[in-house]
Amino acid sequence: MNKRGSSVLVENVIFIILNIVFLSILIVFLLNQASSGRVLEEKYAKEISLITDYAKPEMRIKMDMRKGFKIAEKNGIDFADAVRVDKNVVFVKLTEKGGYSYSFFNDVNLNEPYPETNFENEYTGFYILIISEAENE
Amino acid sequence: MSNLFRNKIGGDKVISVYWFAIIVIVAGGVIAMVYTFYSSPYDVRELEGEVLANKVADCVSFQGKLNEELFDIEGNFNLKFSEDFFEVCGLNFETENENGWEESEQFFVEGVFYDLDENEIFGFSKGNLNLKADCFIPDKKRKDYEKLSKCVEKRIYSVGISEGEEQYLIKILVGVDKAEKNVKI
Repeated sequence: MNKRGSSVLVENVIFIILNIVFLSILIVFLLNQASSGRVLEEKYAKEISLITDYAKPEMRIKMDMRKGFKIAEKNGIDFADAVRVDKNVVFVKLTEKGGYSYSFFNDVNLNEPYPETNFENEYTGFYILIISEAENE
Repeated sequence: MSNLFRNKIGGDKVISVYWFAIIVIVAGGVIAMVYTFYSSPYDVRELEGEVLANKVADCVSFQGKLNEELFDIEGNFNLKFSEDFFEVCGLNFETENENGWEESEQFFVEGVFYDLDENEIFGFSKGNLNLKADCFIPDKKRKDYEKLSKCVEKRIYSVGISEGEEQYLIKILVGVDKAEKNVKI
C-alpha cells in the first residue's frame, strides 16, 4: 500500500515538473522572440527614422536602447557601431549577421549618433541623436 | 477493491497523456502565432504618412498664412513650386537602395488648392504618381490590401498673402509605399 502510495506521489511530482518545464520553455521562447536582435534592429531603425522625421534642427534626442545594448554586448558588437547613418538612411546592427536599414524623409542632418557613457566611460544603453540643418550641396 | 485502484491509476495516466497532448497543441498554437507576429515587420507607413502630411501642411501654410514661395513676383501662384518643392519644404525622398527602391520613389505628395466654392485653382505634386491610384481602392477586405501604399489625406484652410487675403481650402494627399519593409510579402 505504501509502495503504491509512493509511486503515485512520484508520478504526480514528475507530472508537475514536466508541466513546469513545458511552460518555462514556452515563456522563454516568447520572451526571446520579443527581444530578439532581429526584431530590435527593425524596431530601433524605424523608431530613429520616425523620430528624425518629426525632429527639427538643433534638437538633441536621447534614445533608450538598453535592451539593444545587452544584445549587442552578447553578440560581441561594439555598441558605438550599433547605429550608423548614411545620408538619410539609418542602419542598426545588433547581431553579427544582422542589420536593418530604414530611411527618413526629413531633410536634416543626423550625422554621427553616439552612445551615451557614464563617468567611468561605460555605455549607459542610451543613444544620443543630434539633428542639425541639412548642408546644401 | 484492488482492481478498482489499479484502474484508477491507469485512468490517471491516460488523462495525463491527454493533458500533455492538449498542452502540446496549445503551445504549438501559441508558438505559431507568436512566430507569425514577430516575423512580420512593423508597419509604420501610416505614421510616416501622417508626419509627411503634417510637414507638407506646415510648409504650404504656416500660422494660417500661405507660404510666400507659392507665389511668383506678380502675386500669382508659382507654377514652378513643384520643382522647388523639396528645397522649400525641407524634404528628401531618397531611400535605401534595396528592393529595387532606387528605381521608383516610395513617396507621393499632392497638394490641391481650392477657393471656398471648391473650385480648383492650383495644384502641385511630387514623388511617384503611380502610388496615387492605391489611395482610391475602397475594398479594404482585399487579400493584398496591406501591400498597397498607405495614404493619408489632410484638409486645411489658409489665407493668401495679398491684401485681400483670399481664403483657400488645401487638400493634401500623401502616399507611402515601402511595402517590402512594412508588410510580410
